Amino acid sequence: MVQGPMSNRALYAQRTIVKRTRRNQVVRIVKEHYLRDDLANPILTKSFHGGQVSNEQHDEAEEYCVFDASCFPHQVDVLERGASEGAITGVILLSTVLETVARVRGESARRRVLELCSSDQGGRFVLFPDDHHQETSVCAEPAVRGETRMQVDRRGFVRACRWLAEDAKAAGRAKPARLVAVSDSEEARAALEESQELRGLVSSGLVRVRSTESWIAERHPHLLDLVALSSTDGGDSDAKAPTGKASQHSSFLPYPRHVSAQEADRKCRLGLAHKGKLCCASRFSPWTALVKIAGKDGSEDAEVKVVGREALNRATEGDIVAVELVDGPGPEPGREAEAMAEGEAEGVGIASVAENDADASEVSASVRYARVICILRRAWNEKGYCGSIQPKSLPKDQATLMSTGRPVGVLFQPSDRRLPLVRIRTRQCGVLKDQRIIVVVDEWDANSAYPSGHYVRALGEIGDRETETKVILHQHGVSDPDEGFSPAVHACVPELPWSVPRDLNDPNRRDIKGMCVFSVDPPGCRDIDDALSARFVAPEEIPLDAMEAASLAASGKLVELGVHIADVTHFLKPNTAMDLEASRRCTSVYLVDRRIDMLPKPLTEDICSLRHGVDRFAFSVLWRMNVDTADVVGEPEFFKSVIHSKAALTYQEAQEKIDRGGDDDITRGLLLLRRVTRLLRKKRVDLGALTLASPEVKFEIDRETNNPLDVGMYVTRETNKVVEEMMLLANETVATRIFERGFSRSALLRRHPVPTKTMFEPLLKACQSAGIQMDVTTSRHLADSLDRAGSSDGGEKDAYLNTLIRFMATRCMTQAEYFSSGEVARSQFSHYGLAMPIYTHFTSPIRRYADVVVHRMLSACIGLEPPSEELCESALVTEQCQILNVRHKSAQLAGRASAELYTLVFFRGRPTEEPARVVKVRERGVVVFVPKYGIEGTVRLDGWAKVEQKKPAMASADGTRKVELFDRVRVRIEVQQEGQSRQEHLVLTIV
Amino acid sequence: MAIMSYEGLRQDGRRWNELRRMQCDLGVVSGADGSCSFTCGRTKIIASCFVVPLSKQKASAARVPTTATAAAAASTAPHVELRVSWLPFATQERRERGRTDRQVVDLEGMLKQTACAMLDASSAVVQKQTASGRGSSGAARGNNMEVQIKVAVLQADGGVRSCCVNALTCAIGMANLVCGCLVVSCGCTAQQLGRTLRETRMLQSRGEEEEGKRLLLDPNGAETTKLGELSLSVTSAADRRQFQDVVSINCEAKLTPEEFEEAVETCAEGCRAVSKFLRRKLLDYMTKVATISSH
Repeated sequence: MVQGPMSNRALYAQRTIVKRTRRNQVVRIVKEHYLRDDLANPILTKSFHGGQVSNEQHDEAEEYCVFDASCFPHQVDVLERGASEGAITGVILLSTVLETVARVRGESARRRVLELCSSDQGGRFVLFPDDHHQETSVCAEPAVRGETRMQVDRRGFVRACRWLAEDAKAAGRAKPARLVAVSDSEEARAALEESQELRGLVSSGLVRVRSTESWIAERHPHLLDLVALSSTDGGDSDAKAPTGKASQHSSFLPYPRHVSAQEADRKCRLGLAHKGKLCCASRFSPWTALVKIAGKDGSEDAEVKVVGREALNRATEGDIVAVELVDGPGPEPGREAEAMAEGEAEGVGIASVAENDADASEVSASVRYARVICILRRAWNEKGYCGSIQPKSLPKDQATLMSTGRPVGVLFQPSDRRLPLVRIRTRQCGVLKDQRIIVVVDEWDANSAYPSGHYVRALGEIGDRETETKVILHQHGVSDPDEGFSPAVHACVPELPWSVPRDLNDPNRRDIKGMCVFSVDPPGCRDIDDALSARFVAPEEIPLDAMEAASLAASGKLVELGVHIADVTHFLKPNTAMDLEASRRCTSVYLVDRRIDMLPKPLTEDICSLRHGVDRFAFSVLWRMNVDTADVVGEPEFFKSVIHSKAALTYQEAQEKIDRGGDDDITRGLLLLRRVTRLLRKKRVDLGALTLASPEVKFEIDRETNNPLDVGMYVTRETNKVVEEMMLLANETVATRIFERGFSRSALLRRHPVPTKTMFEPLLKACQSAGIQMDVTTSRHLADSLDRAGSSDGGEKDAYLNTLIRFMATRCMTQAEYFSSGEVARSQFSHYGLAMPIYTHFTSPIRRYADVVVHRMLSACIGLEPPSEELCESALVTEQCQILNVRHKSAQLAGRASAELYTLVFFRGRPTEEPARVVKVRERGVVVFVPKYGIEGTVRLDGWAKVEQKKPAMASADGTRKVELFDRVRVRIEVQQEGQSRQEHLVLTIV
Repeated sequence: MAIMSYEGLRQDGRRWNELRRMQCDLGVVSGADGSCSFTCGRTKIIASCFVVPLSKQKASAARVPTTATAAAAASTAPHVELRVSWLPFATQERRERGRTDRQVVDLEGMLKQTACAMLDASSAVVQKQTASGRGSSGAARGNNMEVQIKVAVLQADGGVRSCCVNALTCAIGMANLVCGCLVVSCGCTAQQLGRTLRETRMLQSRGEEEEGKRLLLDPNGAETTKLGELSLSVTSAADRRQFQDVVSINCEAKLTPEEFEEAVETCAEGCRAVSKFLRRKLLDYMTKVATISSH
C-alpha cells in the first residue's frame, strides 16, 4: 500500500518563491515539488463524450481544446453553458491555468470550474495536473532571470500543448487527435504559433491556435454572446464600440490609473490612504458613495464621501477600495447633467421595517471627501446582474437591429441602480431588447466610461409577472424554483401515499392519537408545522408524589397545554443529500403567489404537514400549568409522538369558534388556550415585551389569472396571538432545555441585541418634534411610551399615529440573529423585543432549517439519538448560523420585493387617491405612508421649501399650503415607467 | 491553500501514501563514534553519538536510584546523555531556541526514551569495537559507559520528530553499540474533507471518501502546520520484520478514534518502508568499512 521514498532524482525539484512580506522583508520560500511519470495523457485515457466510449470510436479524429491563462478565467460562463447543453466537450484544463483562475477570479470561480470537471458532468472536462508531469512541468528548470510569472506560465502552456499533441500522435491512431490551443492574448497566440516547440505541429495541422471568440464562432456560434470581451484583444473592440457610448461621451477622458495593491498597502500603513468597503449612498445612483474607514489608533470609525465618477474611479458597490482624502467634492463637469440623465428617482415601495437606510440627504456637513486610488477587491457578482438593455443605446436603423450575424454594442442597465451601466455586445439585439437579461461584468478599462460585460441568459419579457419574479429570486440569491430538487434529494423522500405504519412499535414514540389536537393557520396554508392541545387534568392522573399538582388538580385548576411540532427530523436524516440541500436553502421563501420550499413538496405538504384527520409524527412539548396564574407546575415534558389532528382551522374559523362558544372539545381547548395565553402575554408585557408593528400587506389574488384583486394591511385576530404565545412558550422552553442540559457550548439560539441609545436617535427626534414623550431607557419604558403615543392629544386616540410610531421604533432596532451559545456571553443571550432571557426557533421545522437543528439537539438531549459532531462543535454551529442569518434576511427581502411587484401590478392602469400620513420631512420633499396599502414613499415637492419651526414642515412657494410631520394628506398613486431601465415605479403626488 | 491539489495529488505532487525523498549519509561527523545526516524532504537532521567511560560522579549518582524505575533503567542500560539543538535558521522565520524551549525539551525527552529503549534491549551489554580500541577484550558493563548523543535540527519542514528518531537510529547503529533493535519512525496526518461543514457533508454524501484517502503519509511543513501530525516510532528488528513494537506515539493531529487507528496502521506501513531504507544504508556502510579495514 505505502509507496517507498520518492528517491528518483529526475523526479525531484525544488520550487523557490521569493516574495515580499507585509513588513517589507524579502523572504525566500523553498518548496519541494515532485514530478511524476505516472500521469496519463487525458486524450488517450479519458472518454470525453459521456459514458464509456469504445476504442473504435476513439479512432476518429477528435478535437481537444486547451485554454490558456489569458482567456480561461474570463470564459467560465460560456464553458459552463456549453457544458450544460452538451455542446462543448473535450476540454482539457491545465492545473496551472486553474490556479490562475483562483488568483484572478477568486476561490468561488475555481470551485465552479472544478464542478465542471466533476463526474456529474459526464467527464466532458478533464483536469490535467501539468505542473506535476515530468514532461510538461517547467518547475524543474532553472529560473530565467527577469522572467515574469506570466511568461513562465506561457512557457508551461506551450510545453503542455506540445506534449499532449505529440504523445497522442505517438499512440499511433489512424487519425491522430487534433488540439486547439485557445488564447485571448494576441501576443500569446503569435508566440504559440512561432514557438520552436510547436512549429512542426502547427504546420502539420495537429495544433491550431485560436482566440476564444473565433473558436466559439467556428464550433458553437449560438454561444457567441456569452463570450467575455477582453481588452487584450487589440483595439478593435473600441472600434466596434457601442454607438450610444460614442455619442454620449464624445469628450470622455480616461479614468486616472489605479496605483498597485502594494503601493496602496504602503500608503495605508503610512496613513496617506485608507482601506474600506464602498457603499453607494443612494439606492438610485452609482455615482455617490460612502466608505467606512477605520480611524487611527483605535479612534472611532469615520465615513468619507466619494462623489463623482472621476473620484470613484471605476469602483462599484461593495468593492474593497483604498481611498485618499481630498479637499472637496471637486469639479465634475457634467455631473449635474448626468444626474438628470440617470433620473434621480426616489423610491416608492412597500414600507419595510427590516432596514434602516442611511439617508443620503441627512449626511452632516462635516463630511470629508475622498477619491479611490486602488480597488483591492471587486465585489462583482459571479452569477451576474439582472437588468435590461437601455433603449437609447440600441442601434437606430431596423436592419442592424434585426440582423443576427454582426455583434452590436449596447448598454445594459442593471435593475440594481447602484451599479453603473454595463457595455455588452450581442448578436441578438432584436430578441433581447424587450427582455430581462442577466449580464456578468468582466472588467472596467480605464479608457471606457462603463464596465464591459457579457450576456449570460434571458429571463423573459419585461413587465411579465413571471419574469419579474425570476428577477427577484435571482437578485436575492434564492434558487430558481424551476430547477427544483436533484434526483438524489427526491430519493430521500418516502413514497406517497405515506401513512404512519399500522404496527408502529417504537418505544421512543408515544401514541397520543386520542388527545384533542388541532391546528390554527392562515387560510390556504398547506405546510402545517404546529398543532395545539389543551385540557384540564383529572386528579387521578397525577402521580402520588407530586403534591402541588395533586392539590391543583383536585381543585380543577391544573391544565395541560401541548404544542406538537411536525417531526421533520424523522425524515430528514443528517448528512443525506436532502439535508445538505435543506442546509443550503435554510428557509422556505414566501412570495405573494408562490412558495419556494426548503424541503421537497411531498414532505412539505403531506408527510410532515400535520393535516387533520390523519396520523402524523410529531415532536411534542407538554406543560402542566396553574390555570389562574399560568405558572408551570413541574417539568415540561418533551417526547416524540404520533398525533391525530382533529381539525385544521384558519385564524378566522378559530376566532369564530371562540366568539360563538360551544361545547365541543376544540372550542373548549381554544377557550382554555386563550385564557392561559392572556396571562402569559401579560407576564411578558410586564417584563417589557414590545408590540412592534410591521406593515405587512395582504393580497387577494384572482385564482385563475393570478392577478391581484385587492391589497390591504394584514389583519391580526386574537387567535393569532394565542398561537403566537404558545409558540413563544415552546421556543423558550426548548431553548432553556437544550442550553442548560445538553448543549451549553453549542446550542443554536436566537437573540435580539439591545439597541444602543444612538440607534433610537431618529425615533426620539421625530417624537420630540411632534410633542410625543418617548422613553427608551429600557424595553419596558419603551413599551409604555409606545402605548401612550398617539392617545395624548385631546384624549381621542389616533390609532394610525400610534402604528406609525411603532414602525419607526421597529426600524431603530437591529435584527434578531441566530448564534451558537459558545460564541456569545451568557448576558447577551436575551431577546429584546420579546423580553425573554433565552430564545430559539423550534416550531417551524418544515420551513426553517434552524428549527431542524434545534429538533436534533433536543432529541439528543432527551436521549433519543446520539448527537452528531456538527451539533456539538460551536464552530460548526456558528458556521451554520451565519448561513441561516444571511438566507433568512434574503428570504425576507425577496418576500417584500414580491409584494412590491404585486403592488405595481395592482396599480397598473388603476391610479388611486388615498389618505396618507407624512412620516418624514426631507430637503426636497416629504415621505408619506399610505396605511391602506402599506406603501411608503417620497413625494417630491418642487418649489416647496422647508419651514424653520419646531415641527418639521414644508410650505409651497406661495405659502398657501403647508405640510407638517404626521399630517394627514391625500396622495395619488400611479405607476410610471422609467424609460431607460425599463422599470416601473409607483409615483406619489399630493393632491 | 487546499491540501490536495488535483487528481489526488498533494500540493507537492505526491499521492497520499508516498514518502518524501530520503537521504542518509553516515559518518559525517569526524571523531564521533557514530554519526548520520538524515534528510527527508526538506527536513535535515544531524545526529552524532560519542561513547565515553562513565565518570565517577555520574556513576555514583546512577547507583543511588531515587525510584524503582530509575533503578531498573540504571541496571540494564548504559547512561545516556542527549542534547538537541534546534538551529535558529531551521525554519522559515529565524528563531533562537534555547535549552528550555518547549519543543526542544519535548524532543529531548522523547529521543532519550527512544535511545534508552534501543540500548536497553541489548540486555545491558555494551561492546565498543572501534579501531582506536579499548578493544573487544575490554567489554564493559553497560553501566560503566556513557553514551553522549547530539542531535542538531538543521532544517525543519515537517516530520522533525520522526526524522530525529531515524537519524538517531543510524548514529547508534553506526557506533556499533550492541543493541537489540533499531527504532524507526514515520508520521501521518488526516486532512479535513471539506473546508467547511457544508463541503464536508457534500463530499460525504457523494461518497467520494475512498479508503485511506483522508490520510496523508509523511506530511510536509505546510501540511503539518495546518493539520498537525501523528508520529509513530516502532522497533524494527531484522528477524521480526513483520512484527513491530511500538516505542512511542505522539499525536498532535485532530483525529477521531477510527481515524486514529487507521493512521497508526498507515504510519506502521510507512515505518516499514523507512526501516528497509535505513537498513540498506547501514548495511552498505558496514560493508564498505569492512572492505576498507580488511585491506
